[in-house]
Amino acid sequence: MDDNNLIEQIKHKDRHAFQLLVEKYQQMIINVCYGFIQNYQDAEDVAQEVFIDIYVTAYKFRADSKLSTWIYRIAVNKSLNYIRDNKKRKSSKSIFTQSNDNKNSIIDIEDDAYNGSDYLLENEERKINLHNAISSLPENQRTAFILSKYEDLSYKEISKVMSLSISSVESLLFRAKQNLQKKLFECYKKLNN
Amino acid sequence: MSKYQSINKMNCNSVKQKLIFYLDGDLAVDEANLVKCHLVNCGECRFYYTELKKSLSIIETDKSKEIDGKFYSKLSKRLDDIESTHETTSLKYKLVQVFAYAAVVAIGIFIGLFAENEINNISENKNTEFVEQTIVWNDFNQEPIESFLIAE
Repeated sequence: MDDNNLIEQIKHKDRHAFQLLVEKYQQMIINVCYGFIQNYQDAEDVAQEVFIDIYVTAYKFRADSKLSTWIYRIAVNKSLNYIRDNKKRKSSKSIFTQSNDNKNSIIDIEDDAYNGSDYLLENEERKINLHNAISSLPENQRTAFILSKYEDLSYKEISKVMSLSISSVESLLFRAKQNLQKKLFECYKKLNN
Repeated sequence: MSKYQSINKMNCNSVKQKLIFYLDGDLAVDEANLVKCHLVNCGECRFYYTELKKSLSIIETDKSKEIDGKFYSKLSKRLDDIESTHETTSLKYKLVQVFAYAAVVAIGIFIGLFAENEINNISENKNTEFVEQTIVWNDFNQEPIESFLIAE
């Protein structure tokens, strides 16, 4: 069943078609949400909200854009709204969630046969630095960067999701990479000294 | 400091600025070759390059995380809850609508009855006033004007 058939079935509240759509797009939506939220559990919750939104508002989808573009747009908006809504709560929660995430990633790394505790700490610090650097980017730059890096979308696809011209996306990505590099280099300087 | 070293040092800042683009393959071939040569000879830039490469590789690790196997079943449950809540809400809304219509009809009937009663009262009062006026005229008749004229 192709995307157009799937969405037409979902418009008639067909649960089987909806399940097929979820199976097809869940990885992509979770990746995008995780890129913004940087907490796996929260990213999954937001991804579920994205799918619920798709199910409830399927009648709004017009075939003038690709289904994936529409879904990416919902995922980006939901993630940004989540970050805005939870800004205050997040600051008080960050230490707790970070330590939880650390535990999860430590388990992951152990599976990878890297057993040095220094490596784990170093990798964890690097991960936190990267996430902080991504979070510090302005919203537009962050969106373009996440769609490019976490989803490997082309400039053209990003321009459709963000409703911008291709040259604007190029410029956004250039500045995003510059800013990200600058932030990361500040962290490396501390390591180097 | 040798001439080569000074050129190398001079280029460090511009090389560092290009590292992320070099890693992403965004540079033109000539420029990428220059950066590559610089990295072979410059330990400091190589350090930044290696660190940046390690940092960006975290994104690949993040992307390959396995999805919770119960993702759809959790989602399906949430959707069921939303739909049942929606059904309850729409049932409540329908009930409220029925009660609202019934109330409007009852109020209409009440206003109709009240208005009818009031109209009856008003027409009764008008009749009473007419009777009173008639009595006044009757009182005047007790002393007819003709008697005054006769007395004088």
